[in-house]
Amino acid sequence: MEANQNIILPEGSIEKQTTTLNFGPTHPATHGVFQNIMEVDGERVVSTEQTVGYIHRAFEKLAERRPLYQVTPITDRLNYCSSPIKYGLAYNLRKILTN
Amino acid sequence: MALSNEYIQEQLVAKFGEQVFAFSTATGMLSFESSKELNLKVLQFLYDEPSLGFTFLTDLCAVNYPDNVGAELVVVYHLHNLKENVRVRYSIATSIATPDIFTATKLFEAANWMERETYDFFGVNFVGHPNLKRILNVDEMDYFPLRKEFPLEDQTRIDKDDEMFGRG
Repeated sequence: MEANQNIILPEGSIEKQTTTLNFGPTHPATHGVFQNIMEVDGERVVSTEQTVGYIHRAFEKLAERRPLYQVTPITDRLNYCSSPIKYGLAYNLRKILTN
Repeated sequence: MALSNEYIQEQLVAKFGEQVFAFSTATGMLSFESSKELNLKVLQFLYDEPSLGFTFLTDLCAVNYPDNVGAELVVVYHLHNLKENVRVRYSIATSIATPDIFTATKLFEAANWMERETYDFFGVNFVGHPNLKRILNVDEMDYFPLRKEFPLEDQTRIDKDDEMFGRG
């Protein structure tokens, strides 16, 4: 076997005391939204590094050019609870527009 | 006694005088502006003053007004007093050529990610932020998407029918 066929580990991988786990975007608990790369010592999480933005779909940019009736179906699809929260939006919009 | 908008306005004017301006209570919430150097002083005053006590940063975002030359980017803070349930909106305008604003992360922990998002989408440079890099978009992007100069759609597409998209 030649030397360049061996696996090359990142620096300090052999000596370090913590395990690196990927609590990735495709996990039942993250709902596909974010990724955590966790340093775990046994069962205790020591530190994490997050990557958010997997669910970013540019709603704000879309809403720049669309009238209200076209934006409301988009806001329904923001997250699980956003459909009922639409009533709060309607209440406040009415306050703003009639003031 | 309930914290009223007039009281907040009086306190601010007593402390900062002419440097806070554009007071307005449209939508029931007091909103005012100041210049960007006073940024941290105003936030600290609203935080520390016992009768005001705005200790919760609800939102930090920016707005792009391409028509106001010299004040194109406006950074808006929404503060909330949890005990009295009173909100206040504080905005600072900055030019698009030098969009530097002092960071509020030492005062509010929540400002950390919110400022990263504002940087990511508008290009506002927060001076003193511990980790100012893009948060929602890919790191290799070199433009700022929510600025008005960035077009919504790919202008080179000729196959889209505007009638169908409500813009005909």
